[in-house]
Amino acid sequence: MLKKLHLSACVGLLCLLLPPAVVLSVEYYDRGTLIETTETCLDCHEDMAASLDGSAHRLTRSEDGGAVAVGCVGCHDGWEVHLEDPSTETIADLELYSLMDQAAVCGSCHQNPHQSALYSTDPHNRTDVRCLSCHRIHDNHNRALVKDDEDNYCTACHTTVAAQFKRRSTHPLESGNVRCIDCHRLGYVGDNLYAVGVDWTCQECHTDLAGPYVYEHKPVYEHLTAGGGCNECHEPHGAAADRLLTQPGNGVCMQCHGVPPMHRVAHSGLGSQLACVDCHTQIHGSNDNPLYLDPDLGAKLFPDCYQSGCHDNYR
Amino acid sequence: MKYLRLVVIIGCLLIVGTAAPADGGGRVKLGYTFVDEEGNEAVNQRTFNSYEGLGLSLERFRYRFDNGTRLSADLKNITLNNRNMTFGLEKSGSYGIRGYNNQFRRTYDFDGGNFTRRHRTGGKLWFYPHRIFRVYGGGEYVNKSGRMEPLFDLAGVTGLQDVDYNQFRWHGGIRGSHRGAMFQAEYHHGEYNDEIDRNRDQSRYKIDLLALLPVPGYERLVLSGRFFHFETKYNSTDFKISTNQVRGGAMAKLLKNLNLNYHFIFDRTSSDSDFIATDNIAHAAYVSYIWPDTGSLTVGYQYGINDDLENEIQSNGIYFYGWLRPWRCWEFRAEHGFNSESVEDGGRLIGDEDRFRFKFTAKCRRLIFGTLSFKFENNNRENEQLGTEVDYIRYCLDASYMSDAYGYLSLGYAYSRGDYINVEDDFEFADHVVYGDISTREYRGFDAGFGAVYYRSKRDLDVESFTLRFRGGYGFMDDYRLDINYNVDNFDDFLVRDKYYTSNIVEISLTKILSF
Repeated sequence: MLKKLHLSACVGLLCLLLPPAVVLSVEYYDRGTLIETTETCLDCHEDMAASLDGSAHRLTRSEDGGAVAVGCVGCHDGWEVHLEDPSTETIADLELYSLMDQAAVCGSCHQNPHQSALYSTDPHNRTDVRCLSCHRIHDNHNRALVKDDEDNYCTACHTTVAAQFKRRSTHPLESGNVRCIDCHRLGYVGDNLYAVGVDWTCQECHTDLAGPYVYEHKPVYEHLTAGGGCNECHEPHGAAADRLLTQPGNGVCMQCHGVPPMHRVAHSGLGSQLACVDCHTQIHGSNDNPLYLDPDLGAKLFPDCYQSGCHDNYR
Repeated sequence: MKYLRLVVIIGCLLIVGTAAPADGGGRVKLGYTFVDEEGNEAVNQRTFNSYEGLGLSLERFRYRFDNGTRLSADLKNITLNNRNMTFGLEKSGSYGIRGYNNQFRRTYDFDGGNFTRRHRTGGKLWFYPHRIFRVYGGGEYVNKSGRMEPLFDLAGVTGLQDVDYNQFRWHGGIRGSHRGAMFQAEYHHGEYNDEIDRNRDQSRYKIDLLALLPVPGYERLVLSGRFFHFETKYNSTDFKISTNQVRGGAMAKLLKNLNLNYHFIFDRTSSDSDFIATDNIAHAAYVSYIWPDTGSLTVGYQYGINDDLENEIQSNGIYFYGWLRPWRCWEFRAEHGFNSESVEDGGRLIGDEDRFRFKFTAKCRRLIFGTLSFKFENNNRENEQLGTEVDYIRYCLDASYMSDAYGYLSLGYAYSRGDYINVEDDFEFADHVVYGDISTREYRGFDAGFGAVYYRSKRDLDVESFTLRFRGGYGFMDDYRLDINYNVDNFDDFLVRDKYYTSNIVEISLTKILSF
């Protein structure tokens, strides 16, 4: 195990030492330059100030006391040439920028987990979803400058997911009680193949089911960084069965377990006539017994069985 | 009485707001909702959170003060139990405060008498003590209480379960960012209190450190790293479980259009009750080549180890992704991922496991007329040792049309099919969802709309449900609107006799449009 750990670490470090090839091009301006150049821009583009006024990109004026300054040239490169030749070709239009170039410009101010994830590990990065695919800077009063302020905004592209939320059992997205980013935190998402912390995402709301338990049901707390966990039995977006289960009845149990032979033969097969979770109520995990049985099972279902002492070994 | 006071206070605030010389807008809506339900109130999820009564809302309210400070609010149904409210006060580059409150009801029995209700109230704030530092924090209180029925109670003996727990979480952190580099440190803390069983009370905390570093002088090589420690502890027994995780990666632009992406995870989860710990190690590398505005191709490989000292599982995954825009409006995307897990040491119930997924999307985006998209997805999982398999297929066809002259139209159809080969009792389903929405543009103050969702689940299930939404509105006196919404919901499970439901919900509202 330790050998593999070392090997993995070495591979990781080697990859970090790969030679870079492209030279820095993002410009960073001080507060004074941003304010001064903005005044010059507004001589011709007076309406642009109004298009930003109600938003987080409100242009900084000299009398403003905010710690972070916003100016036209912070985003629009090429302004020195544009002053000499005021054609549209000489000033940067971010809409035409590639993904990496947009990320570099926006990242000159917005260095945060959301930006860094999109810049590196987020699947949106590989699908050519750029900053301006979701955000619009001018003439926009929406939260976080997203193009559409609807709670289920993501479903504009993720149409199959939107359809899942119209199935029998779903999380309350359409009523606005949860939003996509409650679970899919853009700043914290890992790679598509790394469903990192999916269980920890669920337990933020469903803490009562999260454990830890003395006897953990393995799929619930798989401790995997990829897959597994709650999603083994539940479809979080929407399911055909109730309670977001992938299958109704005993189906989810039967994915991994068969009916034990004694359930079929003992007491005329009584054990196979019930739903698994009628007795195994602590299916998410138990602090009482390793079979996740209801701690009060003896009292409410089969008092005779336990009082006789026959089934003590199973409790 | 309490609601009346609230209505008066908000009314006064609005009058003051409209008088102030600044910039903003929004809508104040006063409406009454009539709910007529028949059948089993525990089966139709769309209407769980519907209430009859007088509703007051302040929607999409925004107000900008002369110094650049912005006030925003979206307060829906303040006076009803399905209230859903957010508000914010912020000034760019200086500070911000945001808050929210909402609640959701889930009913469990035929007449709706047994239900649970979840309340969420939270907020966050941030400020910049210096232009490169952002200090932030927040908290959330969640409470769920009520009475629920177990899902499967064929014997009818398990009975109702009382639920009453709350959780308070808070976090604080600082972020520094300068010239493309970023460092962030966060601390999270949570307390879970179970009023039914105090033995389940827990404390949790998380320390989270995150860094992003462009190599000086080279914009296109960015290193990222993250460490977090997460611990959960039962208060009554001190039994705890903890995770330490290190993540890192590098993104390099090797040539003009050639990118290399690499990241790794080292993770250990352990409990203090025994000597077993689960280790996870994973590496993934991707190479992407981009033809600007035309297409891209990505190839990736992932290697992982899951080792709990008794059992070791190794996994190998490959990944392909590409997109293509052959013409201006058309775009095609395809993705394929395959992951194979094998038990190298010890054993586990499910044995070796293979998973694959495939996705294909074709989309036509004509900005003038709307969009047309088709999606296909196939996910598969196979466990040879158990003899089980899951095969899942989805199609989705979605179209929208927008016209300034006529209005908006959207239509969609989604099909999903699942085939589950279990150890026993195989299961299969086929779900059909048809949905659509049409809205006319305003004509002489009048506008109208209609929306519908039809859901049908077949094969081993036999469920049908639909929702019809009719709406009409009339604008008068420049900034007033009268709206009528009529919703019909129906649900039938043809395999279970008492699972049927029908409702008629009418909302009549008067809206004042604010603009100042």
